[in-house]
Amino acid sequence: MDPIIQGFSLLLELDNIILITLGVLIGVMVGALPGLSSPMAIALLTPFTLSLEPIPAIAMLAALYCAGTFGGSITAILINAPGAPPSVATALDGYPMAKRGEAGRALGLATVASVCGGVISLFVFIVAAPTLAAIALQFRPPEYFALAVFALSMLAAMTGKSSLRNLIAGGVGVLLATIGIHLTTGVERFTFNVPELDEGISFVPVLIGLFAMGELLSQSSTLNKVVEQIQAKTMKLPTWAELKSLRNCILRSSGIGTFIGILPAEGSTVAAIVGYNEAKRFSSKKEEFGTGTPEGIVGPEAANNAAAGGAMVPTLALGIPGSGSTALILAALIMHGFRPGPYLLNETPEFLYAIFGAMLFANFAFLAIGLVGAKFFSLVTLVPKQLLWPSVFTFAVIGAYSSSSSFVDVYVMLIAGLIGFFMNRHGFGAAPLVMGLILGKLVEESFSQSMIIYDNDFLAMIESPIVLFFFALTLLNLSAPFWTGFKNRKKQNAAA
Amino acid sequence: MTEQQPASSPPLSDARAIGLVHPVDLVVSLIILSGVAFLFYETTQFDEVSPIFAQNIQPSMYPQIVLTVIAIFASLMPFEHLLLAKKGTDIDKERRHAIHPLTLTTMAFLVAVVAAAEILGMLLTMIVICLLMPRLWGLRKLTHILVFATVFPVTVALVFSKLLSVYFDAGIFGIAL
Repeated sequence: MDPIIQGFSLLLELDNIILITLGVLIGVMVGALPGLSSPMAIALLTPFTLSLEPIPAIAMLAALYCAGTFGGSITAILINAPGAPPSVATALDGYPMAKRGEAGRALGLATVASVCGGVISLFVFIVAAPTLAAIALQFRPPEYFALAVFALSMLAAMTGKSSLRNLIAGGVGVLLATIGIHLTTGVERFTFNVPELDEGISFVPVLIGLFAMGELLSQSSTLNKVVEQIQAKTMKLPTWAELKSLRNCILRSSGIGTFIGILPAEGSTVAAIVGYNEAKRFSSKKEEFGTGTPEGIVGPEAANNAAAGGAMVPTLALGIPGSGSTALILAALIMHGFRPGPYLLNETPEFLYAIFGAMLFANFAFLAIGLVGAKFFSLVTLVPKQLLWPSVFTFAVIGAYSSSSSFVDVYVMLIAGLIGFFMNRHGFGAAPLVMGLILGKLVEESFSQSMIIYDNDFLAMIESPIVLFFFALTLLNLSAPFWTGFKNRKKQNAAA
Repeated sequence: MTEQQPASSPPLSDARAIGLVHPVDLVVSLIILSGVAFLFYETTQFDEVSPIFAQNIQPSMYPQIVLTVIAIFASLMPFEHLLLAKKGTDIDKERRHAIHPLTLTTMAFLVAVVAAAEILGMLLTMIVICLLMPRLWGLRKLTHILVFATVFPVTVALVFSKLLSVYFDAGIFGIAL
């Protein structure tokens, strides 16, 4: 009982409540602004949280993550420009509903569905994370290696244009993690005689560069884009009868979202799209989808917020990120001196309850914020890009510099930003690279330890059924694009 | 880094017209493979340690495995468009058009500002960003820019240096709050 009390006592301290509320406000605002995203906000905020106590700092970032997913729906509904990728599906019916004069109703439906999805997934999180961590405690290095390889293979199924490019980006991330002095032998690797690289690539400048600077450069070509904004005076919560009619859709989408969130590397965007498709598949009014039907709003919204809670399960229980945003939270955990994984939950269980409490608080806070401030947050989109992005650049420079008071980190941030821009242009995602960077150390450590255990006999690893299971899943994952292509071709041939 | 043939890629409907090998992806793939080759060579220059100390895992072994995997995936890239076209994914959407001139100018601006940051110090760097970037991006209202370039950097510097104890380098002009 003690860890629960300790964890929740976090919410009784005024400083922490302010921090978490600040996280929620930043999250909703960032989520609402097209171009800005919660991974970017987490990357920018992380260096400033390093001076805070670890648990409130991570709780603040977790609250920001939750709220950012919701914030995207405001602009998806009001200007048909999803503030964040997970809200893409919400715009399909949210914007048509807003256009016919029911913007407040659309926002109300999105908020209630988000809260339901978020809360349901958090209860799954609080049960599943310790259970998974307890199982993972039995894992030896070979099992951990197989699990990490499986997580990397999941990048193939991550949102993005190309599985292959996601895998390449993940591989580059893993390679970046090898920069610095090799821990077991003390040999310098890829340091090119730059002393600052001896300790490896610092996460903060790379994260800020990839997420903030890359996007800044992309935004510079869309300055003349004019959006039609629909005014929403107040948010209108759905009636009890309406909620009752949408109950099954919300529950189904929450379940889908939580499950997808738990899968390593899968995030809210996939969850929202699947949530929308399933809402349509089970609906008796399929033809109304795309014209502003309530199911078309609650389906994706419940799913994308549920995925946020789900994604925290592998992140905290296994140290394997459940999504791009949780990869950044994991990076923040490492920077705060934690070693994420089952030992973290075993040794500091109060940590789990603190995160749970912060995310639960965030869910109800954005309900309140949505009710009171939806109009304000919709106005945020009117801030000219010519002022917004210089502000982001300013924060990026300070963030990169302040992580270790070194200008080398600012240069690394700029290089990462330029690379991020070109990566994005050619279909490579920033999130897979970050996941590779985070998982890189775990993969190398567990690989080396496994090789020592099995006396360099790689095949001997397969003796473990868990290793075999994860390797089989990895193979399935990597071959998925080919067999789905084959299935589609067969379908097309049959239709012809 | 320069963009190769950005305007020549046909739209999705004409994806088959590209043929077996996607020309832009071929260039990207070759760039990656050259990088991999260089880094692989670099791994051969890592110091060797005695097998007992390294426990049979030389420091170069793991990076070499990762580089090999990247090389395998990169060599498949020029052919990937065939699979993507069948799935209805337009891989050329972002790169069909040449890089916007303003993007190139912004890149040059970012490089210049970051290069000058050590000399200017953090506060002056912030002011320069807030003064020049809105103008560069076409904001004409000078009063708006001046107010923004004064209020925003000073507020940020005050909040971060006083509340969060972030150290702000004063640069060679010694300007800090």
